Amino acid sequence: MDKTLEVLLKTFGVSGHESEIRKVIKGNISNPKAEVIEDKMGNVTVKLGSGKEKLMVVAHMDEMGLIVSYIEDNGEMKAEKVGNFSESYFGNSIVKFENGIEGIALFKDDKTFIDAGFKDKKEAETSLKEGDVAGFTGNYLEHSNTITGPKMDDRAGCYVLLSLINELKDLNKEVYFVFSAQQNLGGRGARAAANCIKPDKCIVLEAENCKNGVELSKGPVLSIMDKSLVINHDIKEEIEKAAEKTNIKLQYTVSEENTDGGLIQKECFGVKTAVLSIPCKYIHTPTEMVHTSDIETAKKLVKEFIMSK
Amino acid sequence: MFLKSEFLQKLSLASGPSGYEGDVRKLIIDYVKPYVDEVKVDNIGNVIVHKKGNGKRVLVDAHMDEVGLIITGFNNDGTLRFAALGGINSKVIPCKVVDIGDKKIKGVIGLKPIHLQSAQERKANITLDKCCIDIGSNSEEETRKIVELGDYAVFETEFSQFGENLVKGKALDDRIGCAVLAEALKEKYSCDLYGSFNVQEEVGERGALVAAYGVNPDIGIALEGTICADMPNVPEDENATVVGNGPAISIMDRTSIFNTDISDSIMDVAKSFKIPYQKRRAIAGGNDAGAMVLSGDGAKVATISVPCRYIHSSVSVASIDDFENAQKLLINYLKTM
Repeated sequence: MDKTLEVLLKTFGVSGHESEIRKVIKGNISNPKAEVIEDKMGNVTVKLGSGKEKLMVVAHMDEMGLIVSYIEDNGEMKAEKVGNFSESYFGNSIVKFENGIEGIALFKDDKTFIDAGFKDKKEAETSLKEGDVAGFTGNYLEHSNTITGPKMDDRAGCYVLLSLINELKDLNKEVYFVFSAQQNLGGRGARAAANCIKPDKCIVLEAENCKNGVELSKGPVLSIMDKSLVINHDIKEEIEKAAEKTNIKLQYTVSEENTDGGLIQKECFGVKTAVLSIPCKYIHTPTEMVHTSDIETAKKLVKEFIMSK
Repeated sequence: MFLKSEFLQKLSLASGPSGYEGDVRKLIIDYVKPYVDEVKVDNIGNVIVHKKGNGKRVLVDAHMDEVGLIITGFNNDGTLRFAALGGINSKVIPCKVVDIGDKKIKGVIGLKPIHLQSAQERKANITLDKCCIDIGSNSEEETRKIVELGDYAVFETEFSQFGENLVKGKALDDRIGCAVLAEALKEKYSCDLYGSFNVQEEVGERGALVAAYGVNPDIGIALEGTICADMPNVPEDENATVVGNGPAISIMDRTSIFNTDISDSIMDVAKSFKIPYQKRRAIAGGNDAGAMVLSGDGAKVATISVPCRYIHSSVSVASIDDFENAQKLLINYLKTM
């Protein structure tokens, strides 16, 4: 797979602990005109272009994970979820801490544990402590133009943003590309970014579940509505126009997700907001599958949206 | 009584459920005024104080409100119907004495005697709508002369020394946080320090959203009286905190994930000043730091708490040592900025 996508996928960045992924994102910005800002919530915002209209394009850089809340005498670590996902998909999968230590995520007696093989509490405390966070890790499978592994949601979106930042020139609007923090905890980073930027319009680039007719390789998905946002119809029309122009067939969905869009739309004087997603099979599991053509068409579509008059 | 907990006692005995924080507000303003450059009360009722400085803008907050009750109706027989202000488990309600309103009219929340309860009733939990407050009146007419719709009620609980270096009283969540902040405001700092004594935290951090918007801090520290379940029938991994082990530094809760740089700095200060501390080993609950994150352009946040057993009931228990160590920790941490 593309080297930039690969490094994005393999970098640690659990919600609230995004310093590693922040570094990688900043390090992969090659556009000399890009103005890079890091704010209080840890978002990375890249400003490009000038013009009457202010557009925000956001993808979240954080991943879901587990936080250690208690270390047992036997060296196993009790943990809680960071983010909203189902334990049923994560039994006995491998997690990795910020300091590189790996362990197994287990669910037993209605509680979550991480077993990193420590023989007792004392040994565990030499490398880890309460409050340390771990993200889901694993190999990436590439086959038939699909890529499967952890963190597709939403590093695939971040990849699209980075590609656009490095390719675009002569923008006719003021565009703010935001790599948001803490999306998995309710859009906390993106809301603060929208508060600073005060955009007119916003496109949230996400990953959407392959459910209710949404399929891989059938194009980017427009959310008519999700748990906290009804799509702004002005933007919907603009996106559909851009899709027509670029010969991209859109998929539509009523999503069961909460995205950054929910809080962005009602920030300050309000923002016209839409969520556009890359279809993702087995979302919110350690084995999220995307189709490379969907990443390409999402990028093409957002590029057309940004560049249109 | 410990000298150092005199103000805490006054705060604990004051009435101030969510939305009715007036008594507490007065006490706090009088206490902190001599030590700060500015005091103001904002539109929602928060007390915001400012100690001017050149460094980072820091907001330290504690909430003035306690969980309590509000009168919602009158029964024909002169008893009162009520609802909760803030999260109170209905198990806590029966067999309590409450003080209603500014005049502190005494009320009793009773329970059908066991002799008259059916087998099912003996096992079941009571719900708030099945309870009433008895003020000793004989009729609705009589009651309406003394109590108004919307009057608040708080538990009548004595504040006193308890066990070894412990205190018991109501509203330690978060009068103990208010007391820690009030003491810390007596010192001098180089940072640009704002203190906020907030209203209505217990009903959704409403005051804190307004306070944070007004101050727009770089760093926010919430001070709490926090959950502590170090009880014999609770496994150790579910205690969250332990009374006597020092102020508790939070890792995460339902409304914030705490900034590790700030939390680590706080723990470094604890280590160098030999102040005992512990981690709040749970992610349950939420506090005003969540509002700081959701206001304006957000903030980097942390929480320091005094472990309090049995919060959100009529009485809680905390350690005076933890209370004093929380002050020491906050003061010395703020001095590093």
